[in-house]
Amino acid sequence: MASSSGAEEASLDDYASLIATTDVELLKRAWRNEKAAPEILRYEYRLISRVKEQIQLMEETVEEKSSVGNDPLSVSLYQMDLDRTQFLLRSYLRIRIQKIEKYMFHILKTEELWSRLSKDEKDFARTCTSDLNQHLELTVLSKLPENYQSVLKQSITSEEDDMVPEPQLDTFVLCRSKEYLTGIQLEDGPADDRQFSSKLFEMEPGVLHFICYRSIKALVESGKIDLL
Amino acid sequence: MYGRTACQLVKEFASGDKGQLVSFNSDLFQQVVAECSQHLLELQSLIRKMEEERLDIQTVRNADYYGALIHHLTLVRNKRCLMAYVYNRAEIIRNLLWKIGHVLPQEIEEKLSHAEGEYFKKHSAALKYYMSKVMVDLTVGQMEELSG
Repeated sequence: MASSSGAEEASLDDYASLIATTDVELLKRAWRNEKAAPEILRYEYRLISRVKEQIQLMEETVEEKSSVGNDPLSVSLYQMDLDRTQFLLRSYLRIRIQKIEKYMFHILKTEELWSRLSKDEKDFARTCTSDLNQHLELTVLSKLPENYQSVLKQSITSEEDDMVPEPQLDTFVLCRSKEYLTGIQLEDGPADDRQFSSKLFEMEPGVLHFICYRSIKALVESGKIDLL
Repeated sequence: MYGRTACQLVKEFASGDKGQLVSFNSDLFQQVVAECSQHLLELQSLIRKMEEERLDIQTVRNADYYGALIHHLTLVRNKRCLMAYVYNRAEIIRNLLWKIGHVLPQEIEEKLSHAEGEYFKKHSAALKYYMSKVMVDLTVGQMEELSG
């Protein structure tokens, strides 16, 4: 090790710190948020394309290093780093795909959620919905009387779509704020209770809270609060 | 009638082990579908009767009206049960893709209806296509996720 030149070491350090402090950390954060949020969050388009580039770069580095073959320890360290990043990426994409599978009808008809999907996810969601639609059509709906054949409505007398499964936003999540936040409206408890004594909630930076997702939904979306 | 058979179908699903499939109960399923047609006939005949008596269906609230309403509500309930049965099975079938992979063992495939088998293949193709587009295989590394 001592024989390797100083310049090379410095550039390796730069490379390592670049990986550790930026995109992988951001990806880990996006992954945690996505994992804990009941609904699908905005696709981190730029981050994911950067991470993919970095994975490619790391793969090249590992290949190059192992072909030289004189430094197995650093090769295995690079490989571990690579595995870790790939795991995060795969898991992030998988969690999103599984949310799409679960709530496809709801996502497809809700403009706000639809716009959060990547192009490939949109293609997947479309195919996915039409496949399930066809399956339900063939197995159930085509055998029912005409006025009861909608996949979204119970019958033609339903005024709105009353057969679409939606994610439960009233679920509780563990979260932490990066800065001091105030004026958070707690949306639990009965509705009229909320009107009279509108409890406003404060969050100190770095303190863990267990809180109803609906109350902090907007703050998660704007990146002020991280889920755990 | 009146939703009892449909309820049995859903109960059968709900009492099974979570995430495990039993054979598609087409006997019970067909019975519920047949009941739906029967309810529609009775619903229509009650409405026809009211029309013949020149009663306004929008306003008149007599025994025939409530009879028709019961048939309508039963139809809706039956539909919910049939849909819940097929939809929840479809969810398990999709999860099999994640748990077992794109080829199902014989003993599981036998439990699917023909349409469910087709659905599995189509969904598997959709997932494969997505993974080829993003160039990431999402089916590997799921165990690490469970332990980690």
